[in-house]
Amino acid sequence: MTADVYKWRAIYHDGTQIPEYDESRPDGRGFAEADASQVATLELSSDHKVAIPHGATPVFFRRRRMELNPSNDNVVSNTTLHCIGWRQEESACYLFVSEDGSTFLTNDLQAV
Amino acid sequence: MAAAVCQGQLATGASPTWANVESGCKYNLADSATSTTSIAVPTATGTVFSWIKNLVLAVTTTGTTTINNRKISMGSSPATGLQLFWKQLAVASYAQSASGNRPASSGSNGATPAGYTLMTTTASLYDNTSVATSGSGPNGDMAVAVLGIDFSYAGGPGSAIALPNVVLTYDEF
Repeated sequence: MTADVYKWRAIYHDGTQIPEYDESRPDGRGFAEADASQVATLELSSDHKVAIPHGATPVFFRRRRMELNPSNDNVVSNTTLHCIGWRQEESACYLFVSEDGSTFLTNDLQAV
Repeated sequence: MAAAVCQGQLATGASPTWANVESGCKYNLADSATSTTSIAVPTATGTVFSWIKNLVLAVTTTGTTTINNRKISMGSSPATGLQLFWKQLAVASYAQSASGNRPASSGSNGATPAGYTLMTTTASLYDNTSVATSGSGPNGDMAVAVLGIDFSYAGGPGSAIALPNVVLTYDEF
């Protein structure tokens, strides 16, 4: 698997930055290691940002897609969508970012 | 986050044995991804099915992440008379593909085997359990797939019947 195009970064209300990768965690952090209650902004490699409302739960995941070919002679494609956003009670906001940088903003987690 | 490396795999054998099927999985009458033991196309109204294919999303390189929201779909629509079906099954309930657990033939075209769901080009959730990628091997439940061929299929017999790709999607975080 090739490296993911985007890396996440959580920025706390006090300005502390929690990146997916840094010198202390070259193996990378799981998103659950960020303190969700402190996250004010989520970034994807500084290219895409979502502000997290007070009290909302920040969301990050990579939606991966793989194809199993019934034939033996075709190349299988694998793609990844990155998602940053938040959810709070009945409200939600999800920004999906494809590998080519195109984006899709929705309140439906299963929209793509 | 050390992302895991995952692979679509097929379980075969009694144990079972898991093997990569990203480069091919034939729907046949065998406990195999490669056998060309063919399925007889019905000569009158009715549907026959392949032996079951125990598909799973498997971790081949462990990570520090978690996976959920596993879905299955087809990359495109199959030819008339061909249909793929799936059902969720826990790995612990694995049953080796055999004639005995092949879905029973139907006297109707386009029949759905009992316990299975028609696979479409819209992704269907088969397992939303959150499972860490810290262990290699199957991650979550299996999606057991079968191919149905009915009398309306106009193509000829053989091992070269074109089928759409099976698409697995999942969320990793």
